[in-house]
Amino acid sequence: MKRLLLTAALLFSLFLALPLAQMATGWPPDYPLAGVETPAGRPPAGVRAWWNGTMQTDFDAWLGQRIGLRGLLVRTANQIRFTLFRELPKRSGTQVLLGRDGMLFEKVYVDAYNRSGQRPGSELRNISASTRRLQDRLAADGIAFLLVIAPSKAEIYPEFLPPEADVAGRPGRRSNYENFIKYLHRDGVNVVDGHALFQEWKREPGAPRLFANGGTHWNEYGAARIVAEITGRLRELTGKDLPTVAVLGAVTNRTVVGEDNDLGELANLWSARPLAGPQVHPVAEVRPGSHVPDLLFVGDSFVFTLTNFMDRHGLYRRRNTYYYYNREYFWPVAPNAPLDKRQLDLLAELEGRDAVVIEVGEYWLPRVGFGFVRDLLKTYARFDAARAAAETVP
Amino acid sequence: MVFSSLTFLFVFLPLLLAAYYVCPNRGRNAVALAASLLFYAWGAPRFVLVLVASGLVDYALSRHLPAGRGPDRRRKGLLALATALNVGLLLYFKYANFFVDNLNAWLARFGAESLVWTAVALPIGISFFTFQKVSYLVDVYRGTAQPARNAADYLLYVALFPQLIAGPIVRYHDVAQQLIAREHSRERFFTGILRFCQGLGKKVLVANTLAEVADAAFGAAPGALPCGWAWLGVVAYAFQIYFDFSGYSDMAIGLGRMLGIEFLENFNRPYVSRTITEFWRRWHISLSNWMREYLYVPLGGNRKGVVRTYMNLWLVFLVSGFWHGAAWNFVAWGAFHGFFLCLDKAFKGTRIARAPAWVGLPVTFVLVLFSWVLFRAETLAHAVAYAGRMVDLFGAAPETAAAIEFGRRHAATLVAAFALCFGPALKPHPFDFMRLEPARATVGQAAARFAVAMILLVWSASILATSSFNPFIYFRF
Repeated sequence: MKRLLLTAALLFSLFLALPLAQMATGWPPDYPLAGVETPAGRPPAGVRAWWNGTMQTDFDAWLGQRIGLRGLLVRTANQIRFTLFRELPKRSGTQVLLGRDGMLFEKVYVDAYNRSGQRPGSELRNISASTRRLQDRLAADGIAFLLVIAPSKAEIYPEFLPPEADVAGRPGRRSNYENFIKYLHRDGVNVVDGHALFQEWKREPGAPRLFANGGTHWNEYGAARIVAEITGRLRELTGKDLPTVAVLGAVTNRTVVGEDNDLGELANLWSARPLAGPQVHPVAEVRPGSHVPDLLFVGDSFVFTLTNFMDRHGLYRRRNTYYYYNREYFWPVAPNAPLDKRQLDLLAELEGRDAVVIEVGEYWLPRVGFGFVRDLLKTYARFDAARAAAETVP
Repeated sequence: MVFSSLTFLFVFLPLLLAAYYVCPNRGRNAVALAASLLFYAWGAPRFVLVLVASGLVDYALSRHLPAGRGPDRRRKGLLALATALNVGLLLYFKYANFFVDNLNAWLARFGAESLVWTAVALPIGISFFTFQKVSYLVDVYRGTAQPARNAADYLLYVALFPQLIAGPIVRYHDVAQQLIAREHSRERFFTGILRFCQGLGKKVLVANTLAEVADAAFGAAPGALPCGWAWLGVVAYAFQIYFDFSGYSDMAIGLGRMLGIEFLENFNRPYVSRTITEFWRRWHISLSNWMREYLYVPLGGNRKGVVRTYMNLWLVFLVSGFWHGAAWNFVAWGAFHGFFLCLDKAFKGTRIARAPAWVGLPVTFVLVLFSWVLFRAETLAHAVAYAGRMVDLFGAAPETAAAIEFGRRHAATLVAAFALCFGPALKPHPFDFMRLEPARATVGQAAARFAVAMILLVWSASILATSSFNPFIYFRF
């Protein structure tokens, strides 16, 4: 008995001491967590910070993020909750809902489906009009413009929404998308309407899923079909012999590509694989063209599934992506960097481009381009005014 | 700092245990005192001065309190002074805002100008340590305990971290000897682990889960609360407060044992009580003991006739209610319990008092539930409105009902809480299961209990780790 009591005391103490020891030595290795969080700053030192309590509060927050074996502990809690109660973490910055048949949804998209975050029609009308002005101005410089609307999973597959989504209580008013697309068509903006296309493709006989169970974005197959639309439209808009893509079919297996289980990963279970569900991959064919374009993309996280596919198939010779118009991703060079908008010479950036493609998720429609449209129109206005002034000088 | 935090569990506790057991016996009180002051100062650095300064004054005055240290009148006067200082501190820090707010409300009613007043911050745990300090002064005065050997011993009694913030309220004579000499044994440490893990599990796994339901119900406008949800909310709260408070006491008792100190039990399955009197013998036992010994008996107890007995009982519960919080709903809560205690006393020995358990138990539980409404509601008006929803059994459902999330996790936790509270016939009862005496147990029994304790510890710690993790899927900006 004495040996047992001693062993118990040692094991208990070891458990308490292990996280601190792991923080100091890095051993045993932890299981990293998925998702991003705002890092807590290092707690301030000094008597004043101690006296007014900021040191203690900041230390608690700092420790909470850095405690050793945090990944293992968090994943253990989440796994127990999921296994016993089929519940996903509720406190995430990005809240995930577990829908029917294991389909995961980001809560903000479900709220938008239930018509929260409605914008006034006049605001959407103005956005559509500015987009058209940009399209025209770019055309004057020989650059094609295309707006790609990425559909929301909740809009395409509402039948999988969980009961707590309270779809029955959904107001009957029109969504931002329904209002906006009307203005875009009226203004003649070049659009690849992912929402309408996905609704149509979903109805095709034997249609494969266009979103993965565990992903928030269109899956690789859905993205490939959108790429096929984009390349076709760009060929038409530029009048050049650009490469195009044809999607011939789909293969379903368990191989997760890119971000197709990002919501599943965010659940931070011991393994995210059970949440991924079946994965649909495209069988695609690239039809080469004599002119390989140079493209500028602006978009949200949906854009990466498109550009990953396009990168792999060499559908352009150069591509830059302004992610939320705040960070820049380059291709064929790999690294990315913050976008310093004060230093950014947009006209120089457009030099040699064949087209500008703005991708925007339904949720973000009121913020098409995330400021890019406004900035580029302003830049053009300044440039045009300066040129006009120069031309009038004798 | 609270026990159910990562800082306590993974920094404070392992470092304290290491320092405490590395230190030779004679230095352990110093380690425990330093750790306790650090523990208190973590949350409220400036109030540690109030704690230490008032403790030193108590200690200085207590030197003159024992019989034979001066004339009785002087001793009595010093006791009154020392008690008044402590109660005065409590009144100032805990009740000044309440008194000024109420006075201003009256002044406003008569069109007078309000008093300008800067709100006073409340030192955490002041209600508990004030009662402990009074206990020391009275014990020394009565001669039931000798004055502390030195100021450090006394400060350790007042500030000892396991019971500092939320009790149990330790009477000085219960621990006086242990502060001087105590036994540190593997058996005691082992039972301390079991008790601590049980308390942590009660707090993190049960109380925190049910708090989500109770908070949602009490956070909703009562008018939007269907009758069933109102009942569910208060039942969830009843179990939340029990598992929270008794869990905290378990942790305190467990930590005390790890340091070689035995605290008295604070809870004994209160919801199986058949009367309100029995409830108070099982709920927050250390407070009931304190109230009896240091308030009810000095007021005359039941020695001064029937009317005074009832008055004393009721007064004690009014004070108890006010001690719990500076708001009218706490006073009403005390009055409610006092009233039913008086009824119990009035019907003692009658057929009503001999009602079978299947009558007494549910009636008592429902009464306790109504009292929890008073306790949990934000204001007295809120409590009345909430209780109104509970009794509106046949009323129409609200047009827009409040959205209260009640999933499988909540349901399972509620069922488990119910079984743990009302399953005293279970042999062994889960709480007794963890109250093992190694001397009377086999190795297998001890190992099984330790395994359960470690599961509770790992599970609870993992949940605590998630509290600081609220990730976004991507950095959008």
